[in-house]
Amino acid sequence: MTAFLQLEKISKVYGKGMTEVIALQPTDITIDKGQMVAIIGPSGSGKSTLMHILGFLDTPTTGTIKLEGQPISRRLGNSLARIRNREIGFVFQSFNLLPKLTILQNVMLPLLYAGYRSRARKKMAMEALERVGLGNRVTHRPSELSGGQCQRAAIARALVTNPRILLADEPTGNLDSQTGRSILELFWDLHQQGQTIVLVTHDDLVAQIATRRIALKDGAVAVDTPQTGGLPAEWTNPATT
Amino acid sequence: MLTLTWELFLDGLREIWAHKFRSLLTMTGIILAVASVVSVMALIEGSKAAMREGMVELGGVERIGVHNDDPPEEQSSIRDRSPGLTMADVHIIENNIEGIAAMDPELHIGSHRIHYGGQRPPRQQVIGVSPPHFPVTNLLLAEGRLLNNLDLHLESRVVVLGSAARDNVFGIPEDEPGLNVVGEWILIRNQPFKVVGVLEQSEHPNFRQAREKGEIDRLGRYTDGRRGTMRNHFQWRNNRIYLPITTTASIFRSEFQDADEVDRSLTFLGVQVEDPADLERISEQMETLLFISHRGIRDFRVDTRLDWAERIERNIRNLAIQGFMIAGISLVVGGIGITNIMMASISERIREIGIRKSIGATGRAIFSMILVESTLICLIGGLLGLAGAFGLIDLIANLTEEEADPIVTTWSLMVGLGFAVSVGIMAGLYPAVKASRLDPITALRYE
Ligand SMILES: Nc1ncnc2c1ncn2[C@@H]1O[C@H](COP(=O)(O)OP(=O)(O)OP(=O)(O)O)[C@@H](O)[C@H]1O
Ligand SMILES: [Mg+2]
Repeated sequence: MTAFLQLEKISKVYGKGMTEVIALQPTDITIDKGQMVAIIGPSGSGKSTLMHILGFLDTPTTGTIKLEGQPISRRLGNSLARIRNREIGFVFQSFNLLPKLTILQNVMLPLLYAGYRSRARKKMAMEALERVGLGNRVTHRPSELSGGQCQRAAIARALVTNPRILLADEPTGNLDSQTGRSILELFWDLHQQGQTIVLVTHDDLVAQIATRRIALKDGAVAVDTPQTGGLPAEWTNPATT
Repeated sequence: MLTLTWELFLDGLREIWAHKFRSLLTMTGIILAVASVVSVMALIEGSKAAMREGMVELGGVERIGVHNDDPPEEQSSIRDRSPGLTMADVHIIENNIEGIAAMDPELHIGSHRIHYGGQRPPRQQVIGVSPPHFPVTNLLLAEGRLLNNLDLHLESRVVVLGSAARDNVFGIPEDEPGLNVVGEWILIRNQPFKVVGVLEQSEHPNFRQAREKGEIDRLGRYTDGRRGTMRNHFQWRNNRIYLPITTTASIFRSEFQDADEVDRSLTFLGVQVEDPADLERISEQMETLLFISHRGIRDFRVDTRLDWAERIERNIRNLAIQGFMIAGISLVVGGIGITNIMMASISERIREIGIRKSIGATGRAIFSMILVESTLICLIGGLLGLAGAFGLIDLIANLTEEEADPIVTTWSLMVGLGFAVSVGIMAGLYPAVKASRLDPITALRYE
């Protein structure tokens, strides 16, 4: 496997002096293409911080990130936006859909920033929505959909630009267990199709699905092991959303 | 710096529509400002046009006037050395300067009671003129004849009446149909004069328009039963009684015991030029000639109609500046209001901005989004302001119906909108920069 993202001695410190918080100790992590990685740890252990750095949303205090071997400067501004737009897909715990837009418009939004024309945007967004099983509710607004449907829409939005890596921060955190399962099944399907996925969770059951487990403790990597992964056998009958 | 797309535009409209009432309140400053800019411009344009029309009506710009004037301080003790403005000046100018179409001397002798029969004698302005006065000042004959050179030569006791003078002396024709005043004799300061002609009513363009539209009758009375009358700004011309200038001088200026020759001094001298391009040359030559004939005493003033027009335009401009100041203040206040509302809108939308950034919006895209939105608010406000301007102009026109009709030009509409859009851009700049610099993580964590 080839290294897609390499974090070298990445650390993150918030604040200064008395109020200094070390969210992330100097850490080396390499994410390979096609991997499904679960980042697990207790609250405040730095999971979200790590994910934001992985997704170029946040800049680390020290260390370098390499994207396919290329070091990415932290002062690139607009080109970081470009990387977020093209290479990264984010899925958040609270969906983060724009309430004033319809589902379709929400999913089309990253393509707008990528500069696609209107017709291509619509076609690609519809395809992404089909992929997450939401092809029939596209003109609704987020407030008119269930949590699971919103999360599917958010996943469609993350997938629509064909990103090389999908970053999900507690994607099932706001969902009941049934709905959560179906979302995890969707992630597993995507993984099967070759999508690189990083899943942040504090739930051990969720972490079981991934093929690699990174456990954080107090901002440092405590465990980093490969595992079998896959959906638990008892989830035989497909859950409804 | 700005990436403009149709979507940005729609986004902006959606955002404005989502807060309809707030947006409308925000716009009021801009609406008022644009409405006043356009109205002020329309009023100026209207006044200018009325002035131009009026000037044409009174004989056009091809006219130079010579007035009697007080000499400067140092000459006041020797002013008697100058003969003043006289008929001699008329001949000197006429004989020495090329390009003169007509000489139009005037001798005003004030207003006098005019006796006819036993009626209560009205007071009318009496003025001595020469025959060219009527054509060059656009006075038209209604009945009888105008003054001619023979009248001037023979110093005939004849008069031509302005229409209002005729009405005052003989009663309005509507009340006394069939009365033919030509050939009647009247007394001016107990001197008998024969009426040889009556002039057509001279009408200011506004007055004529209203009459032609049937809103008023010939005397300015409203036809829709409203009280009062519309003022004709040229009525002073109609109230005059015109005598041959020679007769006026010999009868009214030379009736004193110590008079040993006819006093030929003038009140005013109008000089009609053939080509307006010569105005400057001719007025300068006139200055020179008059300087000589007045023995170096500056007891006269040479004025072109252009000077006059300039003076009026300057007054109009000053009024306009006041109007623009008020409009400018509302624009600035409106702009501050928009900056304020955009800042509020941004803090409401911090999370949205974070989300947009997380899915790849560049700082520039966010900048454009906010700037387009504030510009759109102002553009819509500007358009409403244009609509408001028409209402405002109507209102002003109704309140001041005697004055010049305001004229709305395309240019003024463009200026109004242009101001609105520039205010939108300026007001949006700071919020847009602020929004574009928001840190996505902070924005995402914001609840
Ligand atoms: N902007 C910030 N300023 C100061 N400290 C911060 C900031 N953001 C995060 N931290 C601190 O950094 C540490 C790691 O935070 P992080 O959000 O990464 O934890 P987490 O593992 O995602 O927790 P959770 O499971 O609750 O989401 C925490 O102690 C947190 O208080
Ligand atoms: Mg977290």
